[in-house]
Amino acid sequence: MQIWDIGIRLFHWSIALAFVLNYFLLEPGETAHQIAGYYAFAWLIFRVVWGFLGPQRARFSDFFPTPSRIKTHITQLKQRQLPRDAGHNPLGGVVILLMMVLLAYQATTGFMLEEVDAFYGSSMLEDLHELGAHTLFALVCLHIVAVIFVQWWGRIQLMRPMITGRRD
Amino acid sequence: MRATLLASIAVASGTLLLSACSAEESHTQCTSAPQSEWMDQAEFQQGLEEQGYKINEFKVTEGQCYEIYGFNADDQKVEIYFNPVDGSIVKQEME
Repeated sequence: MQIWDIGIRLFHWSIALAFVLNYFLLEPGETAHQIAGYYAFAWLIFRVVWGFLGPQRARFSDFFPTPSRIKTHITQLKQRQLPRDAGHNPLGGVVILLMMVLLAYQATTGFMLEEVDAFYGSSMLEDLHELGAHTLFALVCLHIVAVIFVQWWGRIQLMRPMITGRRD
Repeated sequence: MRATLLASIAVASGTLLLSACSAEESHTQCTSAPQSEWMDQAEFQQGLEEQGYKINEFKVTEGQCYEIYGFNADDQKVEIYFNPVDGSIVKQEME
């Protein structure tokens, strides 16, 4: 069955690409780093809009982590039985929202460092931008580990739908 | 198809995690000479200012560079990495 629309998938892999480029490969401050940042920010804007106007599973209302949803999810995890037709689980929702906030934060601090003359090269802002990047990377690691673990433990396909859009 | 797909993801995430463990952020390397051979920081900056540069921030980077953020004589925004031994420009970013 169809789980993720093409917009969500392109968003996911675009953000992943931009993150790997900017965190590991491109030097902070260089033009390519800035372009990757703007590219990620544009996709972030799209994702926020999609979170209100997109298909059911793309919407924030579908995965916003409420206490009762988290409780249900934990019960399902204990039973090793996750709903096959679900999009993001509520714990995933927590991480997604945190990552989106951090992406916005990275875009803002990065923009200020380059484009606001008063902050050009500011050491303080640079440290804040770097701290944000490391935090984001910690969340990326958590995300990858969680996906691999939950896919196995919960007996549910998580990676495949993010690539093909579909879950068997 | 499915096996290939999953295998490639496993490899991709593995690579990501591995590169993370040995996380060495990319940076410009300017010299390998010991600091005793470097130019004096204050004099170096003064020399740039005499050439018309306006320096917002001066840094010594992980890659053994003197780096400035500021404006050049034509008032263009620049970020420049210098070799701290001879003061030559190693890398320059201009808006």
